[in-house]
Amino acid sequence: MTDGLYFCSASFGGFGVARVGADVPESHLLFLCPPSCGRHTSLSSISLGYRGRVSYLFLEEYEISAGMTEDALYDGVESVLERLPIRPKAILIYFCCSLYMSGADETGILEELRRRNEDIVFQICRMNPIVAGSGPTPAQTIHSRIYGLVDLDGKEDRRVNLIGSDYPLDGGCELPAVLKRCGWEGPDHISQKNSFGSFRKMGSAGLNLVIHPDGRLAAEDMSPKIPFVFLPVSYDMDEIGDQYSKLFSAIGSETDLSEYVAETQKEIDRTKMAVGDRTVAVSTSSACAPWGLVKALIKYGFNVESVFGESSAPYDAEAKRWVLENAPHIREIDTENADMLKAVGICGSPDISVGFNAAYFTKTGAVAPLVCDEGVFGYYAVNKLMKMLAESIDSEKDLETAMDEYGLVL
Amino acid sequence: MARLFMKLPSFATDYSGAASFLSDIGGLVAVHGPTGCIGNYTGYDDPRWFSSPGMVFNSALREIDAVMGNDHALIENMRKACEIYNPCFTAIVGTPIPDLIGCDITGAADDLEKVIGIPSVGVPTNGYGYYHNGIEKSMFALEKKFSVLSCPNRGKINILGHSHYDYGDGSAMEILADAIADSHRSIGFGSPADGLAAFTDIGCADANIAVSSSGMKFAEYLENSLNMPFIASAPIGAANTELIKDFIKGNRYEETRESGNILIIGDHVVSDSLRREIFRETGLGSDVATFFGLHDKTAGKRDIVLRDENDLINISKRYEIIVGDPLYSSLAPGNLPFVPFAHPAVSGKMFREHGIGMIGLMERVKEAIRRSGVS
Repeated sequence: MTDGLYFCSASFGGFGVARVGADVPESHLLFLCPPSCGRHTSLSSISLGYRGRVSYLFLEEYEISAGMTEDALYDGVESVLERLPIRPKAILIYFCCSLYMSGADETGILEELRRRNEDIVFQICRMNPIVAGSGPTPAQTIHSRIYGLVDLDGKEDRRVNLIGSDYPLDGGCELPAVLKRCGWEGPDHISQKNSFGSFRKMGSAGLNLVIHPDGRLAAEDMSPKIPFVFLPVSYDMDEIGDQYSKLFSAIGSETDLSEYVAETQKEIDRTKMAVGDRTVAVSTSSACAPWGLVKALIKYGFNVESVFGESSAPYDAEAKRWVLENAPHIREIDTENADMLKAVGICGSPDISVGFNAAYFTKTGAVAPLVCDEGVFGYYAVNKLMKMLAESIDSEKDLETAMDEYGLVL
Repeated sequence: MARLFMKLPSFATDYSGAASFLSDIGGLVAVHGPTGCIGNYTGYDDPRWFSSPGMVFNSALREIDAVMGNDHALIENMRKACEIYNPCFTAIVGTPIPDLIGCDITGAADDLEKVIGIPSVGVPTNGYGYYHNGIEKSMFALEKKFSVLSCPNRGKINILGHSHYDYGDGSAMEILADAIADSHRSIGFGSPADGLAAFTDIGCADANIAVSSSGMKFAEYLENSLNMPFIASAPIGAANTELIKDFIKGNRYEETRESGNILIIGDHVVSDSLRREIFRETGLGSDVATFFGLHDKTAGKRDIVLRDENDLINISKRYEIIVGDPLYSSLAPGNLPFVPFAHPAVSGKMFREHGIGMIGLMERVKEAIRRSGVS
């Protein structure tokens, strides 16, 4: 978080906490908040086509300050259930900052809701950005609360869950085939589950693979029953090899990966040939380990000139140190600083931007639209990044359209 | 009492309205609240944010500062930002958390002014009101700070309440500008983009035109305090432009609003103006339903304030044609003709490329009337 007033650029945003909850099959989301807190999630839910999964109970000021929210909630849940065409299996109640700060009794509320509706599973999630810098982020808490609903009593099987990533892996990713050769299935992502029951069975998996920090708290919560490995998506061939070693150790089996290594190396060489010495700017919003991504690009011979955004993840710190030592010319730009308002569109002139943030501040036409490691892991991550880089130089995108299509949500 | 929304979005909030007005007029604005609050404004409520963001920042309020009532960080951060941008004034606008903890927004602005020596206003928005409340509060805050004086008879007319929340790209306002020019007058304060000097000279005009609910209370205030007459009318069709020209000439008369089988859902002033044009063109009456404040001056006898979706569902059953933002259509009976009229305060930028704004609206209404056979 920046020091000073915060400038929220048009390119800031991500998957959105409402969409995370909407991944729970046969669930309904109910936000309990002042009207303002529902503006961005409700409009984005319409744009992205899941408005029917979300309801809002907009509280009056006096209801929060006078502690009248519980009765409003109980009545609101009844009204929602009356209007929904199908009774949901689960209802996720989202508390905003005001509810969180007013000390709402989450445990008591859940008990009462469960007493009134025994056939429905209730969970309270938090949309409370006021905790920034002082505890788990809203995204981490929501993943934790969601996976708190899985059934951990099932027997362990040779399946892997993919936790923390907002998207399932793309079809081209090698991980499912690798796991299969090792005698395991998966990885299963919540969005691929078509019933609440099949989602709850994720609790019988043999391993949680956490590829994004948003899922780490959830995996820790489940770890007494399901072991986990935290392998944040990497674009570095050496590190990917190390990550697979850790994964093989966790599942007690291994397989030869040399074909993937060779194919990926060819893709790197082809892309480097096409991109040449063009300068590259990287957005920290592209990856959960953006400095690792920058380090990888430098190692492959790409001409990285700047990094847009902040990233202080502990697991990315060593890569950042390496970059600053080995490529001291790289500019690190804090895009949240108030003075960045003056820099929109004129903050450097890279030939290619990886991610939206760098593209927005530089108005680069060539954009590799990578957002938060969407759909990637392992060697496939490198392949996809290389393809995006190569394609970016031939097809300039209208940035605002590209961002709208992705559906960035703050 | 809490309001349930299951299909509609939440509407543009009060602090977004305030932030737009105050930054457009030249202020450096801090939306005082957690980082999530600013996303409404930058992502959905200010369609210009992508191409030309204004001086609107967020205080990034944290839990510890909220609990401890630490306004010092806000003031210090504002001071630093003013060193960069040297604004003509600054503004702090509130959000739900400052409201919950009893933060004195106007007091914080006073403290800030003492520290930086730049005029500062506090606007006590709280996220429970809608955009028009924020615009309205901002005008009153600036009036209080800069003491608008009376200096009439300069041949000018002010336009109050013009914003992208009601008017999208603002192209309809050219019609109003032409009407004022045809009346041999010029525009005094036309929109916040005219700047602070135009606002502080707002008393140097003969009269005001309130073009939306956002401008109504301030127009009423100026009428009472500076004896400036006003009319509430949006530039929709000849009925309104002629009314406005008549008003500028000094003609005043009581209007009768005919009720009917057409329901217009939207800002009360804009919807009332559409009602006027529909009546002139077709002889049919209409009623207005609004989520955004009802005004006696523009109210028909069956006009109604909507609180929630159930109100809209129930009232829409009584009509034969409905006019409003396309997102309202999900709650209207499916067999009714629905005339789309995008209201950015409702649907944001969702329909900005769809050509369903104020321009061409009357043609769409007449087509619906023709097809439905309403008489």
